[in-house]
Amino acid sequence: MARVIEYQNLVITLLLLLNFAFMTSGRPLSVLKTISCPDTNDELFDRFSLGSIKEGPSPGIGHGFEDKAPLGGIKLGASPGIEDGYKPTRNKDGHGHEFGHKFASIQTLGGIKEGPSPGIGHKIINVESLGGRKDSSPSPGKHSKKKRRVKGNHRSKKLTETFQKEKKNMGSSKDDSATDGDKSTANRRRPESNSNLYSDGEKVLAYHGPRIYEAKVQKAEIRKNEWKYFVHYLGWNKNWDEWVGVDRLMKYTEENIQKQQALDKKQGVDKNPKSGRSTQAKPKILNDVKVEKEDAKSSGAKGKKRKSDSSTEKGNASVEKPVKIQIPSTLKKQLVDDWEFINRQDKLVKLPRSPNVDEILAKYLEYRSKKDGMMTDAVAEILKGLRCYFDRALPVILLYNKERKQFQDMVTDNVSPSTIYGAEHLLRLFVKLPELLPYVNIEEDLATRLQQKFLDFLKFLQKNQTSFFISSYDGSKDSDSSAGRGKMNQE
Amino acid sequence: MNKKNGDKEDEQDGLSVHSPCKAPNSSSSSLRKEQSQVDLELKLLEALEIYPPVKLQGIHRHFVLYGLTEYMRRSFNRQFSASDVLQMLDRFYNLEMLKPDDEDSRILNQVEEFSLPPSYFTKEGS
Repeated sequence: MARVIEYQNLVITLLLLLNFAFMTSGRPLSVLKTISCPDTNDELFDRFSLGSIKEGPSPGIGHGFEDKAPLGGIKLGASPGIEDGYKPTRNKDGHGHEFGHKFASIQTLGGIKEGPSPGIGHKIINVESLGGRKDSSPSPGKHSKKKRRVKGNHRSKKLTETFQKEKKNMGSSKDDSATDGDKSTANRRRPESNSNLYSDGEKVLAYHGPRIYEAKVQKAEIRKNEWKYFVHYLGWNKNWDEWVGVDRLMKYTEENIQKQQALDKKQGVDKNPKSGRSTQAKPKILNDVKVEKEDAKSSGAKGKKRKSDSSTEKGNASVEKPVKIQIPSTLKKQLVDDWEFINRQDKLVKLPRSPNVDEILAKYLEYRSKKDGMMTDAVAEILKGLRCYFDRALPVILLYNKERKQFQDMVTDNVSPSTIYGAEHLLRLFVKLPELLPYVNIEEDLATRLQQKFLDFLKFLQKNQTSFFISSYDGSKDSDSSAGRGKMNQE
Repeated sequence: MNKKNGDKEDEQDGLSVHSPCKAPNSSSSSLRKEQSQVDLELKLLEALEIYPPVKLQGIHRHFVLYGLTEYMRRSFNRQFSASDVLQMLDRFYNLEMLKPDDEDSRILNQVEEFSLPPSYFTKEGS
């Protein structure tokens, strides 16, 4: 009996489910599955679409756009390469083939074109489309190119020429390097002798838009008698990986790096209007992904640039130094005294402290709930966050050198600093807090709120300064660990 | 953050628990209620654009959660608790399995002595 009922429930729920799934126009059956373990963090965001999480990349547009009518008039039908996912196929259909495919990925982020364009046309647009945003009206590569940077233009024109030359003189030699955009780099040579310039796994510098980025060659192939390299831009999501020709690559040399920096500087001011990512909601996702995920993996300079890149563009979404913390002056004095005791007078705070950090935080929560009534949930969360920071940060950035031994003595394996240390060290955390927080991406108005909350907490400390802080430090260096262990059950 | 396993079979009827239309705190299964549940989830997913789930495993997790909760509060003009939000998230992600960002290890891996900014000392003597 029960079984029948269960079965009925199952059916009903399934139906409802399917309805729901259709509402969000996801892939119905996948919604049932648990997204328990995305292969990589990146792919979480690949599948990101408002309303449902799908597994695996949707065919064609990996970014999971719901509508097949993209932002600017790409006709997907025209790009047969799409069916293969991100792997360009090997047949020698010409560039239109895989580049057509690449439209699908590129278009989500910037420029849109119509249909497959001949190799050249596409290439030109490639230069800009990711750097700049086009409106829906498709513009032929050359036309829009005029409005763009001279450098881009210059190169593109050269590309046209070189491509044409390519076709004519397959076997010609170093003459072609004269038509290279860059004469000084002898490396940008036509592969006339079918010699591979860049090897798999080689780190290179690649043009993308008007700028140069560090990249790594993933694959190398000859197509239409030219070498093509599938590159991955270091520090960027792998969705940006693409096939490029020799003309867009440079060896990773000091000289070229300087070129990169020069371009970076040049682009510096213009970053915002040009990249145009700020206006697109969806590209923002990828921006986030890039910034937060890839920042960890990216190489120094470029990583930073990306981060500031997106943070200036996203406006509200992420702020470089979101929270300025104004410490009340009496507390500042406390900090100075603290410094004085330890560094000038060779004293130490007597540990363990009572009240300790946990207790202080709890007292604050209590204080707040009395004032606010029910809405202390947010405060509680913040306090948890502070405690988390404190425990992690104390041994790393919150101690004076003279305190290290004491720390080692007091804080053994299972002991968390928040049970041993007190207001003195907690206060130091606030000095360092602005350094920790920018790594959290929070909205601007939220940052303000956070700031207020911190300030309120500091005022609370101030109010209770005499009871929370000790007025005299311990002259002798031995740590009295057994006396008054106090409440260690704040866990 | 105590996370239940992927299969919360105890929740209801032995169905696949990740059916989105199942609200943990809803008592009725009327269509209207479902709709608002959908709204909630949509908003939550929007919020994830700013507060990526992966950060919920790292050192910043409380602040990220705070951000998420505030976002939801503002969007719906009603109270949310952090655990509400976590519960909703749990439907989409198995948070335990998220690897904490590498970046976390970047920011607090360098031991350095604490020091006060010089401005503190110029005010001294007052």
